[in-house]
Amino acid sequence: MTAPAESTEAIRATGLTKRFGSVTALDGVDLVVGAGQAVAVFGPNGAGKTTLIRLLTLGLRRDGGLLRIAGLDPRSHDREIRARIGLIAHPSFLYDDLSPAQNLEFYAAMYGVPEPARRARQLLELFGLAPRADDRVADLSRGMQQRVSVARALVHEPPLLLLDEPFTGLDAQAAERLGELLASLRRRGRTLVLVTHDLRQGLASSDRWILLARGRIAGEGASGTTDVARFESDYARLGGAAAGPSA
Amino acid sequence: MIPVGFARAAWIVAAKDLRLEWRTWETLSSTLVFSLTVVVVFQFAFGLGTVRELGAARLVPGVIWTVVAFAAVVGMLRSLQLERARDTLGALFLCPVDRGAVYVGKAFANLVKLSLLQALLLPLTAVLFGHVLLPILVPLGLVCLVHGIGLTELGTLFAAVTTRLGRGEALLAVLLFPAASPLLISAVKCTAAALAGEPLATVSRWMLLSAGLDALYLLVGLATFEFVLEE
Repeated sequence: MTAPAESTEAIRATGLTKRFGSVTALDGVDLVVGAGQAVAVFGPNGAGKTTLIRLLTLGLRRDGGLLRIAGLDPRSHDREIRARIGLIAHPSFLYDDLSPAQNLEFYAAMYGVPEPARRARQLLELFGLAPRADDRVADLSRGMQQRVSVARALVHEPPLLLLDEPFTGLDAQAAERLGELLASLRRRGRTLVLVTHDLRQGLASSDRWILLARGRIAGEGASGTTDVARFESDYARLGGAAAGPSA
Repeated sequence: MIPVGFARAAWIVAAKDLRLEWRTWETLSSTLVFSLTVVVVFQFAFGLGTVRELGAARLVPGVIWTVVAFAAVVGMLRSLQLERARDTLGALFLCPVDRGAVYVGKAFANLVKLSLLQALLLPLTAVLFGHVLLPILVPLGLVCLVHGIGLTELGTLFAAVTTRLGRGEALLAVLLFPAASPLLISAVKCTAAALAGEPLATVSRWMLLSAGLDALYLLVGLATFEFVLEE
């Protein structure tokens, strides 16, 4: 099957539904993300944020609705879609007993990146990890592990980057670095979907936001024109502040 | 990017698993200590007199395959559990490769580790139970390989099921041993023939059965591995 021409839509989801037994985690979510856009997804615990990300990564099968990634149908272009996605989440996806260089080389090879060892070294230089390239990942600080994890997600230069609570567990310095990295990725035209409880960071890292509640879209807006204080207050009423840090 | 074919993806996964083992020696060291202990205990229980009286061919196959089966449980479970620690299996399933290749790669790495264990176990039983090894090395090696393939194929699949359920060795043993019993019975019969110096042609039906089971387990693993790990 041939892939359609490059779509201007990175994601088109219509009526996206996912159930776990009797629980409906996502209930008819409609979402369109243009290529190069950055979208923040907010919502209290159990709102369906992570389920949404896992459906977008094709890590879960949807129970209803339509999904297209870069105009491609997951049922017929599963591998092409996976090749276009990078995922950064709270788990590092790294092998603790391998070095950062070995981890990156492994993932580069799995994505079919030419010269995986060279690509791994290039990323380690870029992320300032070259001096620790051959240490065990388990011996690195959480911030350093997160940098390796981000490098891992970018190893195949994916046009679509999905981030699920990437700031969790990071100290202020590491969180600031990650924020800068996201800004630089946006400047380079990557499409970002960022799930976070951190309202200020999420708004700063996105063009627009959506708010999920009980598996449905409860609100959306442009990040640049959103009144942060009012948004925080509305979000707290929804239960989001109780679920995690908001700044 | 260059599309990664099935065989290449399986090899990358296997090489990674073997590299992890090379860096830690965790699986081999733990299974080797376990194997050494069991073989020594059996040797003291039987004594050389009993072995000479009954013949190594009647006692040693049971010892070898009991040890291998239990060591396989420990080794194969670890190969899947290490993927659970940082959700690396989730990341593997995101890679644009056939997910069956992940199964084959992990099973192949497990087979290499099991074969290494067998390579250390066989000389040990030869010394402790007083049987010859060199003249029967080729047929014995073939028996170990054919049955090791089936055991690792089935063990890797069930280790995935066990890991998905968040359970340990007990559940894996409960799942693996009944399903692998035809293979283990065949392994004992064929090993006995090899130790007795008989040509493998005398146990060709058992060998064919095992080869058939290898093919069957592989097909079942390829068809189901992705789904047993899916939520």
